[in-house]
Amino acid sequence: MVNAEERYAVFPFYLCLDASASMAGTPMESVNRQLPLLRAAVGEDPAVAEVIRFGVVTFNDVAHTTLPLSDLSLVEAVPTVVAAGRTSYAAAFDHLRQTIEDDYHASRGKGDRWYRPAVIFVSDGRPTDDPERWQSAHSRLTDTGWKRHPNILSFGFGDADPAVLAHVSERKPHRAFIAAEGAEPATVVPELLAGLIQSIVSSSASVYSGEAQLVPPEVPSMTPIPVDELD
Amino acid sequence: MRALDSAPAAVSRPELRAGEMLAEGGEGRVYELAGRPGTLYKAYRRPAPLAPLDALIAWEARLAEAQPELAARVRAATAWPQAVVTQPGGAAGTAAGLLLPRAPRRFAVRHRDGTSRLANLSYLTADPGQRAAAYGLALPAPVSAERIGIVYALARVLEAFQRAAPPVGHGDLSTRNILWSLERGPEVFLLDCDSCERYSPDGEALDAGHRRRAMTPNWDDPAIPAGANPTLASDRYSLGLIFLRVVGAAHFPLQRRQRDRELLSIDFGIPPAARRTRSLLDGAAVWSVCARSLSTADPARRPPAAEWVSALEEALDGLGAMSAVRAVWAAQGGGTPAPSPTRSAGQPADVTVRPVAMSGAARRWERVRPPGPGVPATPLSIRPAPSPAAPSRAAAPAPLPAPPGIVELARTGLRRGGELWLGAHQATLASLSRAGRRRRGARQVLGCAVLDFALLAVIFYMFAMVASVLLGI
Repeated sequence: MVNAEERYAVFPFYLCLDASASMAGTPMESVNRQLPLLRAAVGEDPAVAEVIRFGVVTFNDVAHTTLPLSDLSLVEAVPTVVAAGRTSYAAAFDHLRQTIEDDYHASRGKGDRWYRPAVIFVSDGRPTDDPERWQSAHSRLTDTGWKRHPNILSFGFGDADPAVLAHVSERKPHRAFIAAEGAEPATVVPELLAGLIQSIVSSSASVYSGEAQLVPPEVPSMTPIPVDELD
Repeated sequence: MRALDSAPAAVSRPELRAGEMLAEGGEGRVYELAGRPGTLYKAYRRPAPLAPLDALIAWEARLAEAQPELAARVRAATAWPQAVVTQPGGAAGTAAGLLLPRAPRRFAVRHRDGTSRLANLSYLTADPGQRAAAYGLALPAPVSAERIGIVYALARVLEAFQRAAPPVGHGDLSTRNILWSLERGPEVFLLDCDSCERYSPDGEALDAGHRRRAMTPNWDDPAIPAGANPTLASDRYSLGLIFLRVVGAAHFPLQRRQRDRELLSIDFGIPPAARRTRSLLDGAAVWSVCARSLSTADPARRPPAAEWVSALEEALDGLGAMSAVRAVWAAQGGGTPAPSPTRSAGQPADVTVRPVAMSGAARRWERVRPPGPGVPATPLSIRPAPSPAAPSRAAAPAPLPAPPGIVELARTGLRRGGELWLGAHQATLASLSRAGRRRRGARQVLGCAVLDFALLAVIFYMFAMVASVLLGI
């Protein structure tokens, strides 16, 4: 039986943003300039907004939900992000796992169906917590025994370590990216967020085709990753 | 009037002065033209075969001669190609682009932020409450005469396509290709008509083979195999789907189920206001026409748009909205309606559509406000303990100074009241204890007695309310 209650499944995107002190200045200014553009590009187009849910998690010594997972057409403005503190990857991963779990149950309660969530992890530095600590938080987030485990795309610039980013993206091919040597954050961050807008819009189109795909931001050598629907 | 026996005139690209780019898609870009406000230039990414475009332009010119009433509908409600644009020195038999009529300004909506956007079907295919919360738009309710009128306007344009000789199919009646307006009554305006195809009387595509005509995902005809072009019957499927989504104001995701050969039983919610409309009751023509349109079992038996025209006229008449019917005729060049076609009887084997009472309370849509300027996390001097429950609490955004809550207000009120009561009694005692002020003291005693009696009455009343519940009275 089909009726008006049946809606398209939604595709959740979490932007997980490093807000440690090293992001202060140009990188954060550029994030705060670009996020409203992302809100407008996705939220003001009903066909895109309908199937996308977007949230922002920022982390330094601890992690915050800066923008709760939302239908961007209903979001009035994106909060500004302030950089301070150190870079605890463990805080980010633990917070993401809890947030995804909570958001999933809240959405189900409203009758929404979910595609596997995507996490866009952006960092300009190395984790300042113990390797064992952030790695064990990471394995809780990516545990395949947990049904909601997300697909993680990671992007690094500045002091970010390619090996660490590869670990964050579970060493899966075409999921971790590092800026070219000498690239300025002033150019890298806007490019990344512009790419993220394109990625979300393209992924929303794939939702309508019935075979949702996480279409990565346009970077040479990247291919779309098939994404399965959750039970 | 154009000469019909010669190819339509072509415009040379250097003759045009392209202005602002308005849209960019997979096929090409659309530009304004300097000095020609009602016309747009669509520039193809790659040169396109000229012959099918010429054939489409000539088709409309011939229709204007043979069936001017149908041509008027096409002219009023579509971006039908006006002329081919050629590039001097380009390959022979190819077009660099096309000249198209621009959609009138009324086919736009203005968002809350003041930006104006093309009014495509996406605005209509979801709960109008969501669209009001998101964009500040006041859109008509599900199953309203306005929504049925928009589908009626579309059905009349497709009727013109299908009754013409040769008939044409649009092939991609999707959300972005159909604009609507309610400013002068229900109207539609079809885009991307350069992808239309002419068909022979037995349904054979006359210009196919030249090009791939892909349907938009989620607006496609599930009877068409992957990679194949849509057929003349695909527009008939689209009309049924658009009726469900626009009039029902909902998503109705059907195609995946139909590709999986599921039998579809569609419950179409009718709001209380329309529940007594005979033309929308179970057994009314519109439900059978809809079910047959959506059938994938036998696409050839999908009803022509003319059947929709008569079923929707009936529905609008039942809603007391013949004014919408007249408005659509007026907008599409006047004329008189064709006699209703004979209805092919029966229900398809794979789809049923029935009206049901609209279920449930309306969903509430609230806007998300940011929690104020970003709050930097407080740097910690020691690492937080790796307790599994800690992250979610540690991660809660720092609270802003909260406005006084209800408890706080009640507490303040009670304290003020107590202070006043005490003050009044102390003043009375003070008056009574002083000689010469006894008369005033007596008045104050009386006042205090009235106050205390009133207080006691209120307290007794509240006690009785609570006690009666506890005692089960």
